[in-house]
Amino acid sequence: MSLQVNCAEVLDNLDAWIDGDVEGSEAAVFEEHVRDCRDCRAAHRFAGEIRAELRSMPEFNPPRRVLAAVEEATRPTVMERIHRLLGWIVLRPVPAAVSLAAVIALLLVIVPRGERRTGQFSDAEIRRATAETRLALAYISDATRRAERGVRKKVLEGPGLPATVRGVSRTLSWAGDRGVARPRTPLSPTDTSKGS
Amino acid sequence: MRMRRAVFDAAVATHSRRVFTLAVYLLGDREEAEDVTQDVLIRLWRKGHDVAPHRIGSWLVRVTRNACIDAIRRRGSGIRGVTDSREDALPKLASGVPGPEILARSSELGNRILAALERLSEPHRSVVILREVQGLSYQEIGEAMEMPMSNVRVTLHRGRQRLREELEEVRNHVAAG
Repeated sequence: MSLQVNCAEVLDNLDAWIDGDVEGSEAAVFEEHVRDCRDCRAAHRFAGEIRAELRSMPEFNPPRRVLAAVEEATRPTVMERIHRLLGWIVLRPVPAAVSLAAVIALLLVIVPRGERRTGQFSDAEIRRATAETRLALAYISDATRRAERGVRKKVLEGPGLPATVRGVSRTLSWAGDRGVARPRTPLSPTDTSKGS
Repeated sequence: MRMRRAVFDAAVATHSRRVFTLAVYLLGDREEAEDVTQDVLIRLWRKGHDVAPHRIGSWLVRVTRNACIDAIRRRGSGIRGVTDSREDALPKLASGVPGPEILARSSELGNRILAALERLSEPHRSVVILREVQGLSYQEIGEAMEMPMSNVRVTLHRGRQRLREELEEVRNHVAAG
């Protein structure tokens, strides 16, 4: 590799050099050239000043009134809430049907039908209704827990969540799933690094 | 179908500053930038449900840039022909006057840079602002501008060179005066 560079090469690579993309012996050759060449030295300094000035330019937070207007415009209406509830029933027919079945089973046990009174149910009927109700409730509980886990996973894996919050959430979910307290362990350095 | 509320709130908290800053620099007008920011965030709520959460940032930059170009076209609609593309509209119709808030915080060189930025053509101007002022990575700029990384590098290189040339002219003009 040649140890000489001309002014055109230096000027063409000024940005890469300032970015740190020119390294090692190549960077040394550039530095040597700039030491001896007044024009390139001035150009390098000028490019650095522009870069520093651009990077020090301020960023701005939107005013509160803008965020308040956005909040107002995105607040769900009553109709949207109803649609969302109906959407839940349409999109999750199994949990919805099981919930309905559980309610009907409970009503069958609790509410007297016509001339039959609670005391007139046979033991077998009561046992069967109780078992079906328990089964339905267990299914609802399981479906709810799975849905909750799914949401928690999405939130934890999503961007913008600080590592500390992520760690605390994991600890709480671990303990919650097992019903016991998890032994305290310090967060690893990778856990505390800022997410990209 | 709308975005999930938690995802939307997190996106607003994370990206509203970036949206507003980009609008301020592209429009040079704080009030217009506020309107654009409000519209863009509401559009995110209405149409962002099919945007992957990790792409919301680049989606917002793209939509903000397009909204700014549209705003500039509206500003000069009595002058320009309706056939102007967005890419053509931005450099030709920019105000050329940076907002007072930016001017107040900037140095002499900073003010000259802002004026020179206004004269840059697209997409050089947007890429220089996104990279140098807002600190986006090449990948983020590529996603936002819908161009490959190699194009981002070339565009940024040309934008920086053009900016230096503009400033050299200013410097020479001042020296001659």
